[in-house]
Amino acid sequence: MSDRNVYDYPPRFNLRSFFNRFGKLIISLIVIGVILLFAFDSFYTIKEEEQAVVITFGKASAVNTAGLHFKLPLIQKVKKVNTTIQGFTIGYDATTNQNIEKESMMITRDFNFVNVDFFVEYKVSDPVKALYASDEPVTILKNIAQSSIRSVVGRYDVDSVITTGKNEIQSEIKQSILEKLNRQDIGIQLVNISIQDAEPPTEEVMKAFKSVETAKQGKETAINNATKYQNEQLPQAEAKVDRILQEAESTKTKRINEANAEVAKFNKMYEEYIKNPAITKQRMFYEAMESILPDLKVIIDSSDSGIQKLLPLDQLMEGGARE
Amino acid sequence: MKKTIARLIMIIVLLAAVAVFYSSMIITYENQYSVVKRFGKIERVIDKAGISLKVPFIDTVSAVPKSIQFYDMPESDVITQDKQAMVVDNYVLWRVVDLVAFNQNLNSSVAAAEGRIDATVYNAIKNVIGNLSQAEVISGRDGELDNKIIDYIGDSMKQYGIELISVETKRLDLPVDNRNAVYERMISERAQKAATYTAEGEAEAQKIRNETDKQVAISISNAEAQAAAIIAEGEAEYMRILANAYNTPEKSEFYTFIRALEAAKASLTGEEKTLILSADSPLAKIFYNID
Repeated sequence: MSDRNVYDYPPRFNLRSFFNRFGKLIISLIVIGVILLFAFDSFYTIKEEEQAVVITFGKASAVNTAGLHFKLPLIQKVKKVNTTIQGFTIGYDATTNQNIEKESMMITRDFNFVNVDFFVEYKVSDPVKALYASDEPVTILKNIAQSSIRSVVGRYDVDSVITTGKNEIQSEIKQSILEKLNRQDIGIQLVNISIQDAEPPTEEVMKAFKSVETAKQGKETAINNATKYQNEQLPQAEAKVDRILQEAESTKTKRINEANAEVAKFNKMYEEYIKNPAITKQRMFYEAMESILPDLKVIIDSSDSGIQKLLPLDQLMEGGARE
Repeated sequence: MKKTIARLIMIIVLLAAVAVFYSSMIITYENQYSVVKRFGKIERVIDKAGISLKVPFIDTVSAVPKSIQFYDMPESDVITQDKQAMVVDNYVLWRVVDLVAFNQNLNSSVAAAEGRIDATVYNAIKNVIGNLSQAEVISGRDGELDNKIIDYIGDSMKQYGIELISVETKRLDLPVDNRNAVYERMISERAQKAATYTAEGEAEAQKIRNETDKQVAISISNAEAQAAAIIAEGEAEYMRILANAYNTPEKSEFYTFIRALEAAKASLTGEEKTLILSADSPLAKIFYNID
């Protein structure tokens, strides 16, 4: 041994002396490393929005209080599970907004195609089951959702899907998913599913649908116009009715007044007349004749010899009323 | 030297101990069964998660999934009873229920199980849909079709130690080349609907106008009738007043005379009128005198 010492040069690089010099240091480094490893592997933190599953020799248990927790280093393993509400889309790609026809295209009860997009929200309700009851709980949820969507939409006609029935359809789908999910018990829970978009499948079909809307509006417009006509005509007619009645009333009153006026005039004339009836009568007769005769041809008929004379009254009355 | 050999032996023994320790330990996770076999024969099955022991080196352990398995079937074409092509896309949820059968028949392989499931379910779908018309297939999607498929499969998967939890149709569609026909039909349906709305609108509008015109005509006609009655009242009043005024023979006579003169005036004024008088009328006498 001592011989070797002679040949080892420089002696301080001899393996043994190396160990002698650094051995303790290396060992203490390893020990420190192991201690650090144990130290760091013996605690973990849970945030408010997550829960942890601690696995001890394969056996899992859930820890759900936020904060700092201890565990057995190396032996216990911790898996963290996000317990916030998460979501995914069906029918379109959330990042590119591109339609995924295989997911969105479906047949309605009345053999129409519709393009319907959905947004599904879920959260983990049981972290242990979410990790272990199935391999891909979210994929299963998505497939359950797709199956439910198709069977519910298949029960409605296209008009309900596109317009009026959305809420009803949504809640039926939700019900269906909840039932199916409940049967599988895979640790996740449906929060909500909502219809994003429900549209006819192609541009042309869309146009045809829009034309129905236009026709519907046109119908309303036609009815409104007719109602407008009605609203104009009825008051006008009322006014006309009023005019007719008012005119009738005025005619009636006028007539009565005429009668009264005539009677008054007659009474006055009669008063005068009755003082000397014969003369007044004569006077009135001749006055009348004066006003009539200038314009007349007069034929006098003597009953024994027929028509005797035609008076040229024009000449006779020359310078009379005619000018 | 002896010291070195002794150290070496110690290290080997230590390693062997560790190997034996590990080999005698079974860790079973929550999502698996541990199947313990001795010389190829299933000795026992551990279905609780945790740690357990086995005979080292002699017992072998294999893990079999305990969790629900999801199998997404490839999309496939099927023909309905009325010879219509359709595209179906199904998924299957299944799990291992009988570990012995699963091991014996499928060698505990999930892939092998999926192969079996695929063949069986596809066959069932093809047969069930093949016995239904397209209309029945579409309207029967509400669980009915899936139930029929499960009924068709029956317990034929039992021999493999597998239970099909559910077989569901996530897509049931017409092939792309059939779609255009459907689009055409949809468009024509819409056109018809639009035409109906337009016609309805016109008809209803016309009805409202007709109703309006009728109401207007009726109320004016009523008003006219009422007006005539009012005017007649006026006329009656007129006559009554006049008749009352001429209620003595003298008055009556005078009135007749005045009316006669007025009538004569009214009828004899104007152009081209001719008066024929009897020769013994007072007027004629006047004319004779003139002559």
